[in-house]
Amino acid sequence: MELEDELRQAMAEHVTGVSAPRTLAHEARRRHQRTVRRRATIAVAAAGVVVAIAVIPTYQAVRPQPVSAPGPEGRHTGGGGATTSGSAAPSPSTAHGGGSTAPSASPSARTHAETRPSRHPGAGGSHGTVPDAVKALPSYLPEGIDPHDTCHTGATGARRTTTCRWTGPVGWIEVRLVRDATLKEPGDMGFTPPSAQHAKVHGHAALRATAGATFGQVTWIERSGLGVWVGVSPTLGARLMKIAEGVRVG
Amino acid sequence: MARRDDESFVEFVAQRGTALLRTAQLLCGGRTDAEDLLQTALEKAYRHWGRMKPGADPEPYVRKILVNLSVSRARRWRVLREVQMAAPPETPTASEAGTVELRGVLIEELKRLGPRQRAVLVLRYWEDMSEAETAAMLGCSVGTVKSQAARGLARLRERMGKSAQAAASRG
Repeated sequence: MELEDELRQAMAEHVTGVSAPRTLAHEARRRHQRTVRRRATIAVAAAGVVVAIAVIPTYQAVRPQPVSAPGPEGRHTGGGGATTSGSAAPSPSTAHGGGSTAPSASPSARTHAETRPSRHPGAGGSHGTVPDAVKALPSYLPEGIDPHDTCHTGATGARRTTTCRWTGPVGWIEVRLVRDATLKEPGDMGFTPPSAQHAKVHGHAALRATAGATFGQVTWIERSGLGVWVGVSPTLGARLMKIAEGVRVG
Repeated sequence: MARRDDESFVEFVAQRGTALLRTAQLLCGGRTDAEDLLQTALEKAYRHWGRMKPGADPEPYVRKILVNLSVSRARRWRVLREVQMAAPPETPTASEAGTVELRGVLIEELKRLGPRQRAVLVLRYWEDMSEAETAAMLGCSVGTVKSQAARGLARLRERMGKSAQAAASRG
């Protein structure tokens, strides 16, 4: 017999007695329904992930955050909102933008009432500054510095400066965030110390006051159009770079 | 899906389920595997059942799904080497007359062929399809069907020859 015929016979013998179960159609339909449900679940889960991915950054972007001073509990207080403070009165040293090279000489010379603007957006001062999107968050404050900050924002032409101060028995810290599209290098900010040396903060080129300066200060360009100036009282001069490295700009 | 289509699906499976299951078993070797393969094929067919022309015969469509599934599944899982065997595989035994049980050997050798070659042999010699129909079912040329069938048969012949020699030497 030919192999083909033998193969036919073998196949016929092999499947003799094979018959489809009665539930075959029912099983197929059940499988189909299960597949549909599984696909729907996957689609919903995928949509949830997409929404979560899209919403979380949006929420983070619109959530009002304090300019932050570390709070008494856990070193970060959420009660501030000082960057978004309505006060428009810049510190005297920043009001003139490029003119000044030093912060107010004595932080204690200014009274709390003078320098502390309302911490509530909308309750601002007479200058009516719009909330500032740029925030400074010092992650390191030395012992003896009151974690409650005083912040205000001022504008001179196209330049907007947000100044925050922290004071305490051991001295003072001042951080200025300068937003100006023309800022390219630290010297453009106008806060360059009279006698400066090169340094690095956050990997960016910085100019730092030499040891003999009246107080510690360092300035750098965090990113194009955003400069940062950090000044500390002479008592905190040794910790200037640590404080500067700890400044997080949001 | 409309109720009428649902009923027609059940009717179709009741009428042709056994024939399809037999083809599935020849394509993939094991009974359990065959049932799973057929259920998957029927599920795919059911998904598009409502879109089929009412008067058209759905069997070629279901059979095509079945063949494609068996080939792709065999490639993916390499089931060729892991053919389900609930019972130990049959080994050719010498009959009383001293002849080898060629049909058992043939089936075992058929299972060892490649999925596409096996599909060609099943469609050609079980379904009695022409070369053109087989080519259309597998989505290849008639020449490919011819060569696959010839090679498959040659391999069966060769392996059967070896088996027969071994059986003869045992007998």
